Amino acid sequence: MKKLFIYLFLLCSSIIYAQYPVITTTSLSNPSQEDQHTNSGNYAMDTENERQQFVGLWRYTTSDVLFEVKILKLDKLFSSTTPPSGFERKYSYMDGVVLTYKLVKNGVVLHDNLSTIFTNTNYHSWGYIEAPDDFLYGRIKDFTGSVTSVFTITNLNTIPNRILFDMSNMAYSLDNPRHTYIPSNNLFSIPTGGIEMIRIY
Amino acid sequence: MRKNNIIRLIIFGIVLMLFGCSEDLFDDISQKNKRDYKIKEVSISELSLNQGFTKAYSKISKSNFEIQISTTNKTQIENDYGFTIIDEPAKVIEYDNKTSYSLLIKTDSTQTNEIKNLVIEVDSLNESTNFIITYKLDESSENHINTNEQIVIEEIAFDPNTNISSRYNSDCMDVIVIYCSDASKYCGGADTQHGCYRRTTTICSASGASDFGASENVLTSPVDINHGHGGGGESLEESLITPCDDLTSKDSNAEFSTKMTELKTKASNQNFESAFTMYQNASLGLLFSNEQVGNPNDLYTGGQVELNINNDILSTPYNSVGFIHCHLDNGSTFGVFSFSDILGFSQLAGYSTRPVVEFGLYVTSASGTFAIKIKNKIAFKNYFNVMNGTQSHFETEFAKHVKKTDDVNKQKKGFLKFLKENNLENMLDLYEKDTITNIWEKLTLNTNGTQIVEEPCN
Repeated sequence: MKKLFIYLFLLCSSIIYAQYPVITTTSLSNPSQEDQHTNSGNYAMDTENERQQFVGLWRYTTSDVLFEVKILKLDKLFSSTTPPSGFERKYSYMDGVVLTYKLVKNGVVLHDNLSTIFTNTNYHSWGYIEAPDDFLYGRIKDFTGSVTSVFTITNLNTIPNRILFDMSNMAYSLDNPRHTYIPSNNLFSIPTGGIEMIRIY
Repeated sequence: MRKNNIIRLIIFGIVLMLFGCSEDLFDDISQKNKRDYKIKEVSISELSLNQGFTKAYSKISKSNFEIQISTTNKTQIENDYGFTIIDEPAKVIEYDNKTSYSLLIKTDSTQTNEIKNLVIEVDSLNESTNFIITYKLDESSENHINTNEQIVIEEIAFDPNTNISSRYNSDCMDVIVIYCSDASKYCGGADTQHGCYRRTTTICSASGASDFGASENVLTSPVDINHGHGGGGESLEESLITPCDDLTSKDSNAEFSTKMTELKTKASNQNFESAFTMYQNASLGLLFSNEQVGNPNDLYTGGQVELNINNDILSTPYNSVGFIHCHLDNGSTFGVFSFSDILGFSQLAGYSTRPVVEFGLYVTSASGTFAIKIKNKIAFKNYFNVMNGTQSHFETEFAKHVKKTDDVNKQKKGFLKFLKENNLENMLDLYEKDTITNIWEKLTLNTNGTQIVEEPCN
């Protein structure tokens, strides 16, 4: 069964690559190319392996909260939007990271998708680093709150290694129609406003 | 069959009509808007004393002698052509060494949803061209004119030597009609609150012969003067009030100006967003909703403001024209618009039947004051379902282009790039208000996408 999924994934990937070929490449480490990263047909590559410093499992704990984030590299993230009728589809690729998380509050597991495997055509929590920035920038989906928001992750380069995970409580989008949200329920379950997380591995 | 030898003839057919039009005679709106044409309103009795007009008017007389129009008795010309001139102010338009006179008329066949004008245009050589223009109002769309088929043009000329085909030796001609509208009535260009539009239609003689007699006219396919992409009926419109005009006009609205200042202050001292929805009311002008706020204490809504549209007597989804709102100075929001802003604006455009030039989405904060104007309303509102249904894809694209951590100049460039790479640049234009001159500037990217090009209004 697992092999079947792998074959299907490879098949889908090859179909996408055949349909949407890489026309140009840029380096995410080269600031002079920043205007070209998102050109249609471009593949913005992490030529300096800047993402590596963030890869791993990171943990934040308080007396009633356990929050773990797993960051994995994923090459060639595909992104595109459906064009209006009569227009050509534009697309681009970018080397990035994908995020999964486990959130436990007061002993109750609110969400755990640490074992979820994203593909480069099917992902929702992701980030990238491009020069001159030294932090990851992206969006993470809060499953409990049904809200996806912008985050930044900065490596504090401490020993032991810590990161500052900052999920915005303002630059967000609701994942469901607004009327489906319950008043007085917290919109965000993931801690917002900047938390320090320690590397587990 | 339409031939290629089209002669451009400009006719200014402004419909004068109904009550509520400006009562100020000789109210020259071009002075207000700095346009390249002048529009005056002149009473019929005064017009009858205008020699330029009476000479031209007499030329269409089948009796072929000079006649003065009268507000009390029907003239010979009215009897000849079977119309009655209504005693409402006529529009006198001067443009490019030409003067046109538009008079409201009525015939026995005039339908309730129609407005007819007698339009006489006199050029610098005192040659006149005469038309009856019928506007077929679209009741389902608040009396807007949405297609060229709603404008029927007939040339009238008693003497065949004076008609267009004989003068220009052509079977077809393009006719440019300028008219001004609002939701409930049509009145000539004196009403600066509402959109004026230019439409081009081509009329040909049915036989290809040199006779444009009313009974033989054929209204052919409309001519797309904008050469736009997928704009449907609205791409045929060339608004005479430009987006710059509208931005400047709204700035001069005291309530608008006050609210924008208020929002800018709130951007610096609130930790949630505030917004107002704008509505264009036929008689009351620009209206605003009550203030809408995000509420950080109500974690259900969060700090973002929801862009709501009212539905009451004066403010409805149909006359909504946009939003003004603030982002925050504390760096928690984007300096420019968010994708959610675009999505809300697209939804509003889908509801509203107001002229496209009136629409505006504004945001202000310490990062600047920006506006989005719609270029192609039909395409933009049609795109709503796609954007809404695949919002996460658009948000991903947005995050790749616009980072809230970037300085505002980089955000502006990223935003323009986002519009370009996601097929929105043909639907929307981005403007920024210069903080020193207070003049709006249209922002575009240079050809290789590396620099922002600023094009000041005026």
